[in-house]
Amino acid sequence: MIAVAGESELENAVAEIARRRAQALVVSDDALFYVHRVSIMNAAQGTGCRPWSRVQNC
Amino acid sequence: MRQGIDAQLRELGWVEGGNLLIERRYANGRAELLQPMAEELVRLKVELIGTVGTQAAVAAKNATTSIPIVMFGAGDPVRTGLVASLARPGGNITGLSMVSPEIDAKRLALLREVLPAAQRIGVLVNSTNPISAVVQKETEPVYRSLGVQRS
Repeated sequence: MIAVAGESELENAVAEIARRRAQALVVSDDALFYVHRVSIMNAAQGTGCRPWSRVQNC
Repeated sequence: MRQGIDAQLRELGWVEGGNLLIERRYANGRAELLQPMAEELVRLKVELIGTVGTQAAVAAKNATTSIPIVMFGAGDPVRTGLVASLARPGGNITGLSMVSPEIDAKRLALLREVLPAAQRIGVLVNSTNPISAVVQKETEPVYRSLGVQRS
């Protein structure tokens, strides 16, 4: 589980989750994640994840 | 959401710019802006504060004990300390809760159906949102029961 406090931490957080070899990524309901949903998806896809609607299969 | 609120207000006879003034403030995911925004609305002497999300509701609650606050969707209001109980919320807050821990548990069950072989799941949480700690605690048994490790 990775905790972030702002937009600037999102990309590194997704990269860290990928480094931990997670097989999926769960993003909770939160304004921060909603506003930056595209950045999160892009960061996840950059790690090789295939996007789902709310859950990403890495 | 804004379109829905505006439409319902019109149906009830309130027309923005006519007999209604709405002071909108958007934090756009920047939680640190919520408290000053809530305090500004109190200074403007608005008659009601509407909030979206747990953190906005907390900011509004911290800013006023007299102006009515309506939550348009927040995490569990009892476990985040927004209200005393669902039956008797007390204070100046009412509204709608997303009951997010239960929804997150259901979401994990669906994820298990989509990825039955997954054993390691990454979870992204917002450390500044008080509902995050509640959700983490509530979903821990769900992860265990699904045989999934949070990473």
